[in-house]
Amino acid sequence: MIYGIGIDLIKIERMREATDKWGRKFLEKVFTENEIAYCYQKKEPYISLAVRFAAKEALIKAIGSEIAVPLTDIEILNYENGKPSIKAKNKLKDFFKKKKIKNCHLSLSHEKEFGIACVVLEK
Amino acid sequence: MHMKEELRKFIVDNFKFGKGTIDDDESLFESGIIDSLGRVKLLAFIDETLNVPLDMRDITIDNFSTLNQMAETIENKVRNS
Repeated sequence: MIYGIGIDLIKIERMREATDKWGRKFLEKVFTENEIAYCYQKKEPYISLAVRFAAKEALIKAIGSEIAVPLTDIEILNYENGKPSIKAKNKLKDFFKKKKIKNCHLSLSHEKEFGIACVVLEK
Repeated sequence: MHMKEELRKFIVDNFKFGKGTIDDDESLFESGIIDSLGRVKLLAFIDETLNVPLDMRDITIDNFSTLNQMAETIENKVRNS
């Protein structure tokens, strides 16, 4: 059964500007250390950062307005085959348990200027 | 410059592109002036410029939607740190 669906679109340039201007003070409010390390291994870290930000916002939309989730409670990881996945931490982990959310499906994409993410939560 | 005026200037310069001003009790998120990425940029500005490391956990729709609420939340954070 579908619990919720969310989608988010972000201009990659906005992520580059924010990261260049505020550095770690910005990054640490949005991303976990694992995510920062993963993105900065990439040739174009801003694309990876932008789609992860979109994924977090998409997940928040899928949850609805029931709880306020800190962005760092949502960790976007990749399986060895490259498929992205969501790891729920702290408050979000408790929420998933309470709502019996069993699967969290995520799809990411980007094209030149924009990154996009779609999340489907399944009970 | 007073803290609230610094916040107002940053928001007008960065989210309204220097056009017009904002009222103390205007809801900046509901009105669409600040979006989700803008909210994090604002927190980074507060951390960097006012030296108050607000976390996403510190802010809610009830305590961070208007200039007056933001100023009060920052003052509370300073008082309790």
